[in-house]
Amino acid sequence: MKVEQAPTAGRLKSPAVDWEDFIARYGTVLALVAVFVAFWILEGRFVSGRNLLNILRQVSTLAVVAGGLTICVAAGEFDLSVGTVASLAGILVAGLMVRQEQPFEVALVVALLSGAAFGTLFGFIVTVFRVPSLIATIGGSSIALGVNFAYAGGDSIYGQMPATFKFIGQGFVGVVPFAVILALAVLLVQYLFLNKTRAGRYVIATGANPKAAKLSGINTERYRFLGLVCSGFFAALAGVMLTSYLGSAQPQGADPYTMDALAAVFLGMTTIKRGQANILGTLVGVLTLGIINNGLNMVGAPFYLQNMVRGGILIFAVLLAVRREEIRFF
Amino acid sequence: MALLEARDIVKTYPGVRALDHVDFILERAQIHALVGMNGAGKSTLVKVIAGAEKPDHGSIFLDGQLLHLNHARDAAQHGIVVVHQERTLIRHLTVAENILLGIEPSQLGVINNQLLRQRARELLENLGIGDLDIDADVEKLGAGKQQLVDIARALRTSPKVIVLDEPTASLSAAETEHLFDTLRRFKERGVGIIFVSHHLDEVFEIADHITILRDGKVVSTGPITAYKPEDVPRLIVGREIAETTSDYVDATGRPVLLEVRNLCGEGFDDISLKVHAGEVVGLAGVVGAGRTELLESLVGYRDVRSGEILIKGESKRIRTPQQAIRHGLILVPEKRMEKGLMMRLDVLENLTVACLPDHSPAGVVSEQSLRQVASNVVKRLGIVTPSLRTNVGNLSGGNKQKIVFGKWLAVGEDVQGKVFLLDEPTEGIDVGARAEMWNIIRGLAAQGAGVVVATSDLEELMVLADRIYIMRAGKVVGSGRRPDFTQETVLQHMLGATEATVVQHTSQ
Repeated sequence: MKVEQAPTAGRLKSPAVDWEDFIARYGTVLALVAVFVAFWILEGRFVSGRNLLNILRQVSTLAVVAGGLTICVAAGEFDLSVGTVASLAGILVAGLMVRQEQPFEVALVVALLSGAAFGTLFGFIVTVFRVPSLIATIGGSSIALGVNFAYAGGDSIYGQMPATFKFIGQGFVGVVPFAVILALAVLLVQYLFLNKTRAGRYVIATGANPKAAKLSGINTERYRFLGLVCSGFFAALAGVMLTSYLGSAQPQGADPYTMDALAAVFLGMTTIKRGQANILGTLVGVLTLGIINNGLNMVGAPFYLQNMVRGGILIFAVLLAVRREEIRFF
Repeated sequence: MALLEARDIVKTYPGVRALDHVDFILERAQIHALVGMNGAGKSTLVKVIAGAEKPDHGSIFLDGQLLHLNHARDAAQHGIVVVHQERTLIRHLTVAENILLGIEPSQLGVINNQLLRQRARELLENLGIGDLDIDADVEKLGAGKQQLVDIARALRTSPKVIVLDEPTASLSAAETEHLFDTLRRFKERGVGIIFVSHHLDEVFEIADHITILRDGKVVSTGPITAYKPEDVPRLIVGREIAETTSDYVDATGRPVLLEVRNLCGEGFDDISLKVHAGEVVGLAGVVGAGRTELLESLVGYRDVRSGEILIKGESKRIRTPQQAIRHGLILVPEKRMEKGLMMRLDVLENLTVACLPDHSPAGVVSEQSLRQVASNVVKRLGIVTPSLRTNVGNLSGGNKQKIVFGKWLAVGEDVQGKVFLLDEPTEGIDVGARAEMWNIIRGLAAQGAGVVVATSDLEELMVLADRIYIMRAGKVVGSGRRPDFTQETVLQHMLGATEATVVQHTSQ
């Protein structure tokens, strides 16, 4: 017989700040601030209004992918296809406008639907046929790449694109890039969905404990499905944003988002709501990655260092979370 | 000099003394049964002997030599082998490969298959189970045969002491006989065997000696011939608990809320039972009797093979817990951390997970109304928590259990006509919280709900139940009104110490 520990619950906490808890909860945010200050000291130009807006613009696409992936991870699933799905959407939107001469609206809708379609396919494979999402989305990632090459032949797509389209990635509202406003709006929607809607709560419950969620009457398959559709859809939106920013589509331009978005989501799981994928945490993760990328550029670090640092951050974030038992794998 | 002697063993877990100055002596060529209720200390004693747990105090002697056991490996090196309840086979390997796993005969790292098969065959023949096909994929064997392979692997070294923890749980009668023959053969060679079992009929068939544990103490020990099967249950239960027969409710005249007809599924077979409005039905049985499987199948969490479920007289097909809940059939599962709680979420989120539809007009949750509901439940059940925003993982066992249960009160205050299936509702919680849970459960029935309580705690059964069904090995082996049972008769049915199947039929 094992009796659980006597209740500590009734104990009154001293009104002073619980520093241990504070550090555990906001350690990642503090690290973000520390990195920021470090680059500031190393390179004064780092903290200029222009550069700060530049950082935000640089991370806006990543924020959109990572936000979608957050919903997916909150539901307890992985999506390792977000990068290639974003690349495909980026190629499609450009190709439809330039090669098929479709209006911007049609191209946009088709591109976004391609992401949602991949999400639907994965949702089906994962919930109906019980293939782990890790596997389904790695396989699917390769399929998305194949579709991409089949459509564009592996070439970049250049050409005349409507101004409305270019505005998404290149436009400004006052001094603020439109992409930043769009990303903030998307994050807000994602935040409200996860935290304020019934479906969002069910997503979180399913990810937190699928057995308990199921026994509580939640159709857990539906919310795992939904999570995968969300990550696919927002990946496609990010792909469109990237193409718009570049003014052309690169066949594998958005591929690195898979790793960067995962790193951002996992970093986010170590803060705000620890152990749960949460949008605010993901935003912290995205900003951390953006600041490090930009800062390394500013101080003139070799380009390959960025890759190493980003990979290191992903591993370190997960290491930290696993050690604190915030995430458990297998 | 005894073969194995455990002297003055003390082991304390937080909040409970699992072993309280226990002495245990195993002689050569002895089959020594270790019996007791769940929590009596059997598994702890076995773990101490096997080196898996370090005692706080006391020593283990083998052949008069003091043993220093820091790890299960150490015990194995001294010839103490344990056959656990859980299967430890590698699925894709053959019987022979499993038996000799880790000690395969090989040259330069290449396994000599011929020799491997030969050795496996010799070993199995030695154990009296030579008819087991050594080339069969273990995956394709039945549960009973798998168990025999597991046992064969444990016995491949020549052990001095064999510990069997509930070895017959998945064996058929014939396989059990096989196993017993094997054990007798080992006994003839002077091996000492510790046989942990819930099944008294088997104990009396195979054991020479018996030790009865209760609340971490040895309450009785001696040669099996000195005991009568019908006396042992009383020793196992010990203290006479006031068996209050006066305040039970006879609800058999009231509407039947749930009826189960000839239900079959994985782990249970041909189960029929009825639950009336206003009564608490006790479902007794030892671990593995099939109670959890039955309850989880009733709400569609597991599959039903055949049979019929009627809710308020209407036949229903229930495929998911969602459908069950819609019909007012609610399961409060066992193992709250695994199946009941979302450990990383807070009290509010856990309490309101089932009632969201009532508090989210147009799909948007109303934080305020959820807060209201949750704090009502917290008050009603007396849940002790610093705030609604506290992670449930930080609460005590009793409060966690109240939350698993409380989410169903959040769905609606009115419980009349609902059926609550409670699986081990007070497992691992302290005495005070247990009494509170009992009051809550009786309260549900008083308000017109039908309640089923599956429990292996006899005191709980006797305090709560108005009627009792007793399960053993997936079947109902006894049923009746509570006054027709004593703890002893219930235990006799649970443990299979009696041949009788049905003691009393209720007036149905």
